[in-house]
Amino acid sequence: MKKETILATVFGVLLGLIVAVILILVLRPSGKQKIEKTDSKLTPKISKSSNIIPLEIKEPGDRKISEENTIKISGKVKKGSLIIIESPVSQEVLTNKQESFNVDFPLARGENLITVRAYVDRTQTIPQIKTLKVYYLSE
Amino acid sequence: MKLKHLFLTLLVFVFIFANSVIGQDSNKELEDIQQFKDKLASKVAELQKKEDKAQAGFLLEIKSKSLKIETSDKEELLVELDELLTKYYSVSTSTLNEITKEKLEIGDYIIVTGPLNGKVISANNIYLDENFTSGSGIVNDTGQGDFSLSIVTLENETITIDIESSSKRKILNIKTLELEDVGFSKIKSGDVVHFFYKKLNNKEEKRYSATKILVIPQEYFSK
Repeated sequence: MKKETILATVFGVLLGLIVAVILILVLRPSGKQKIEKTDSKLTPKISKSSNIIPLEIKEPGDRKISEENTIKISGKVKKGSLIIIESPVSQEVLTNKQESFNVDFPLARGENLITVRAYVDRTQTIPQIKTLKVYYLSE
Repeated sequence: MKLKHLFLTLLVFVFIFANSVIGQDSNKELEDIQQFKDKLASKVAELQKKEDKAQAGFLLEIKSKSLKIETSDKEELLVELDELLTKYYSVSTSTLNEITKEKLEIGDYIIVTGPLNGKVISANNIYLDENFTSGSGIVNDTGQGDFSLSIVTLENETITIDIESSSKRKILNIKTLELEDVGFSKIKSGDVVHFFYKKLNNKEEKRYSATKILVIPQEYFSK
């Protein structure tokens, strides 16, 4: 191969590389553009003013064993909800003036299936539901 | 002769002394064993107290050293039994009665307490109990005089709930928000009903006998 041919090939490859680097640098989006892109509105934002408070039971935990024949049920749900707490042997109805609520609830010996239903809106017949099992097994 | 007498006395003395030393040793050993037993018992009691959760399910299999149960979430758990430690009780409203393992039958609903490791429970106590399940929905039909309610559940399934004379029936007073007793005739289509029933196995059925219902009149929701 002639010396000129080798020189021309090397020169061509170098030129190609330079053009590629320039194109990458020029066409690559800047950091600001990247941030704008990630700020897309595809993911819905949760605004602080949102009024959705899902029913939450703080205590007792599911499958808990209780030493006493009553248990404190506490939780949180939208203010003014109609809360109905039921087990096969007992029931309590309350409306919460605050978001949080708590009730002393009687237990039967053995397994106690406790269902907490909160009707947060009078136009909604579908309640928010939490179900838990509490065991009272003392002799 | 004198030497022989002395030798015999010495032998007797050594024998008595050795016995008392051995006796002391065995007494000390017994005390140590008792202390160890006490420590073990208090540790077991402590662990049992810490392990304050229980598992429950329908009995699928009974073997000499283990049981298999299926929870209401259709999860299978292996229950390891200990001949000495595991105790068995039947649950009644007023008390617990100790029973033997032989009283357990396939399909029984049992509660198991003890350490849970993955899907294996080392059973401390086993309680023979009844399973109650709850549900809710909207009354679709109040039946043809057969004291049954057709209910569309939250899962959009239609099931039938039989109201027995023994079923506890309550209705929400929409003015006072207090619960009152209610007769079957007061329940109407469109009312919301919460119900409890006894489940005899882990299969889903389309008809249950209610032990308890609570009615929220549809008027509560139309304000």
